[in-house]
Amino acid sequence: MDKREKLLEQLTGVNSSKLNYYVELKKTTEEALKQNSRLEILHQLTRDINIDMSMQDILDRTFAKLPQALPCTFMGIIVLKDGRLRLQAVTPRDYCRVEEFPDDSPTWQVIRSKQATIFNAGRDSSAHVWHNPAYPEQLSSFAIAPMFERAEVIGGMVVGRSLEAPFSEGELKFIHHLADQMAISILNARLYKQVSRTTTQWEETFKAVTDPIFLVDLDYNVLRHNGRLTPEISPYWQQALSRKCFTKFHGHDQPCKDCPLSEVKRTGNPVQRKAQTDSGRLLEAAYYPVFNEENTLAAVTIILKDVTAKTKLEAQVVHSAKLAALGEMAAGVAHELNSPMTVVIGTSQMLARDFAADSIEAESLQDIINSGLRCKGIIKNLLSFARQDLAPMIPTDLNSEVRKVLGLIRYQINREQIRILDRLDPKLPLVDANGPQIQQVLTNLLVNARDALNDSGRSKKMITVSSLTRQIDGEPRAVISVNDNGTGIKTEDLNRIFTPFFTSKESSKGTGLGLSVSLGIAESHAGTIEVTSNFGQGSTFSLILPILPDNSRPEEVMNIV
Amino acid sequence: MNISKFVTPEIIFGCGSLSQIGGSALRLGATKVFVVSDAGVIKAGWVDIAIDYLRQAGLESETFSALTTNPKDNEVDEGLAQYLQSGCDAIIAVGGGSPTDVAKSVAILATNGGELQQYEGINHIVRPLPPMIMVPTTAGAGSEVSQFTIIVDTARKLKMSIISKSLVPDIAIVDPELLRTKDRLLAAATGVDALTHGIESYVSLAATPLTDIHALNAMRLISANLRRAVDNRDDIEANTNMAMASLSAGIAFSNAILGATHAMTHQVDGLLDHHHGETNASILPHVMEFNLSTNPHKFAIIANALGKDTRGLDSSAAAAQSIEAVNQILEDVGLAKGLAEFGIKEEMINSLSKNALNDACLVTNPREASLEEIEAIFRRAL
Ligand SMILES: [Fe+2]
Repeated sequence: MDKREKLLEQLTGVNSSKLNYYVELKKTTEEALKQNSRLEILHQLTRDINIDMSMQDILDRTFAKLPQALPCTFMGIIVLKDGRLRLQAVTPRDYCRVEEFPDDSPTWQVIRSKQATIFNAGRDSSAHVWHNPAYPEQLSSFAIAPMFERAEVIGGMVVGRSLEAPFSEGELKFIHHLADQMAISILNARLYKQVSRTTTQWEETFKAVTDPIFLVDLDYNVLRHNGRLTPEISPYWQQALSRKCFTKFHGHDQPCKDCPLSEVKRTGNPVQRKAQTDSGRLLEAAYYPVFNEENTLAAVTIILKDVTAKTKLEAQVVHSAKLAALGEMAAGVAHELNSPMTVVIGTSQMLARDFAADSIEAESLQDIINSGLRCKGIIKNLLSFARQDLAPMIPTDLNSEVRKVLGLIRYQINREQIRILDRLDPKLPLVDANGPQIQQVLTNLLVNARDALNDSGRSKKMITVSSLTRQIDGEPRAVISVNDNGTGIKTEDLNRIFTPFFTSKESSKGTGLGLSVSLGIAESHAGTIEVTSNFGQGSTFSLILPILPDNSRPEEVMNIV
Repeated sequence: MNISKFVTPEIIFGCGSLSQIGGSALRLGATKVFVVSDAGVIKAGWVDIAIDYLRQAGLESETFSALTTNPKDNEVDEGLAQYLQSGCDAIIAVGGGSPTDVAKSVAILATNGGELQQYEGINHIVRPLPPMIMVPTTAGAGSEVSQFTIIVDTARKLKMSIISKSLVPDIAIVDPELLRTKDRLLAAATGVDALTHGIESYVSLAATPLTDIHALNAMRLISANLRRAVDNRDDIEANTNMAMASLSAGIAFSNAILGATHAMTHQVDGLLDHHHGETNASILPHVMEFNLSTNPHKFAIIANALGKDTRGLDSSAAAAQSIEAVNQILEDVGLAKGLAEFGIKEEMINSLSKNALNDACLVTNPREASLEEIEAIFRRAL
């Protein structure tokens, strides 16, 4: 058709009509409806997107909603980080890949201009994009909108379509809004992750601590804890029906008397307490005030520390130090006594030669000599006792150790009108032991028995020292037991008597270290100390040690006493 | 062309039909009416009467009249600003071709936005226009029924033709009484314009039997009444017939389009502020002569319609009678003048002709015209 004819046709206008308001209204209404559905999508997005969703999830969710409002073939999020662009997520997930965004790529243009822009799809604009051939439709146009964090561009959202009609300005506006919404969602998710990561780290820090930690408010409510409990607390904790610390810790239904919390409330300073549990463990409890932003006390952090082992160790150190000092002294005294004793014995022997063997003088002199020899034996024992740490573990006859101890202290005990009976099993096998330490244990047990007897006010006071072999868990054990008919021990105290610094005696008498140190020695010999007691009737303490596999027994050692 | 189309607005015709303006506006859904007119019509009192009728129908109105003969794009801009500010939702023109074209142009920009230049040419309007009612007071322009608006582009110094079916007004109210107040010269010029519309649309390449009826009716009425109407401005019968002639010519040319005369007068009008009818008068006979050979039969019928007896003449002689008849009318109403009288000079012809070549009206001219041929016609019309 030539130009003139075409013009003529346009002029007379068979193909044109007066524009109609009904049509216009319909168009406007349609656009309004579309706009409505877009708004609805934006709203849905804000509602739907959970704070802990990944960027890919957010994108997938959005893409699924889009067809009604913005027909598109794919959608992607590009993130700007350290001056580089990265295709962070794309839906469908395998739609395309981008290794590198060239400087003149559409995305960079948008990032630089900060303007949402529509591009015609084609080789020029997307040579850097690997496009999955599984999606054969050619893109016709795509739009990229920048995403902002405050005024800063943090990336872009890209939407592409293969429909013939390219994106319109109206759609671009919607894409822009969508990108804004997306940026907000992504930021929220990121902030949430940061916060929760910090919280988790902090929580893990507390959980890593093996000591129980609690956060208790001023109304005694346990707010948080690190999941660690002492065996004493555990049953109460599980049965507790309230959050109150006194219920959860002690099974009480009202605050404990003298609750350290009140002291913290009063002073605002940390409080330290030591407590002994019924099972004999030593706990150190620290109460630290927690202040809120207004600098007023809001809660108290409680840390419980089991210091039983540590205290035991301390006790041994103290005891060792005492022994060392005593040893020094004893060694000095022994040396000093040794020389005059040698003179006494030597002189007596020389004198005795001058008298007839059956003379009364010779007999008296022999008594002096014997007593002197006995003194030398005592001195020798004292020296070896004082140097117990230096003594090696050697096969030892426990009976002979018993005799050595009795030799040292029988006199003292007898003096208190206490009878000592010994029932030593001559077939007692040898044990691997540090003799002086075993002596120390026995001494301790005997001293305790004596004290128990003295406290009892009984008329017939009796200590029985026995040795025997006993099968325990199918293994033969050597047992030395010290039985008294003294005061006995209260059942509730039975567990606690081995605790360092526990003592039933007035402080002048004992250090409270004896039993705990004795148990320490027994344990260092792979043994233990057993106690049975009836309150008011007496106690039996037994040192139980494993025997040497070689069951041989040396000849009975001479009783030096 | 086998398929044709014929468009007219609703037409309300008759003495006193101005009284229908209020109801018409109401029916179109108007709540406040933008009345476009000019100083002369306002002075004649027609605008007050129209506003009164509108008020009686319960309609508010606002009047815009800052426009001149051959209205300019900047005048349209002013009108648009006032329209947008006024909150009006319908447009009424009371006046001749100028207020009508300004009213249409304001309507275009009101709903389509942008610059008037964007819509120059055919079918560039994309959105419906506000309701439009046209009340002609001049019997000539035909704009009250046409799909045209012609506005001077002040920068380029030429008339822009904007053509669209959407420019056909919704209602044309043709009240012959309104013609009474125009002066002799205006009566003559508008009458000759209507005559030109009739002749050009009749020989147009886009003419159809439907347009031919109206074109011929217009020519007959003009030849019988124009002289009377010019001579006696109060001759109500002549005025009524001239109103009908103008209306018929408008219907004809709106559907069949025009020809070289209008393509050329548009350029002269763009250059000088002279009445379009007078320019037509200078050019029309020379264009007829140029076109004569293409359709002598139709030109003979024109001669008949204009009162010439062509019996016994051969076809070209019969056709030539049409020019004779036109010249007689021009002579009688005092418009037989050359373009030189209006200040057109030889050196202007080249550029005038170049612009005329681009005018849409040239498309329907029965004979294709080259630049040289148009220049030659201009020279003869000087
Ligand atoms: Fe005209």
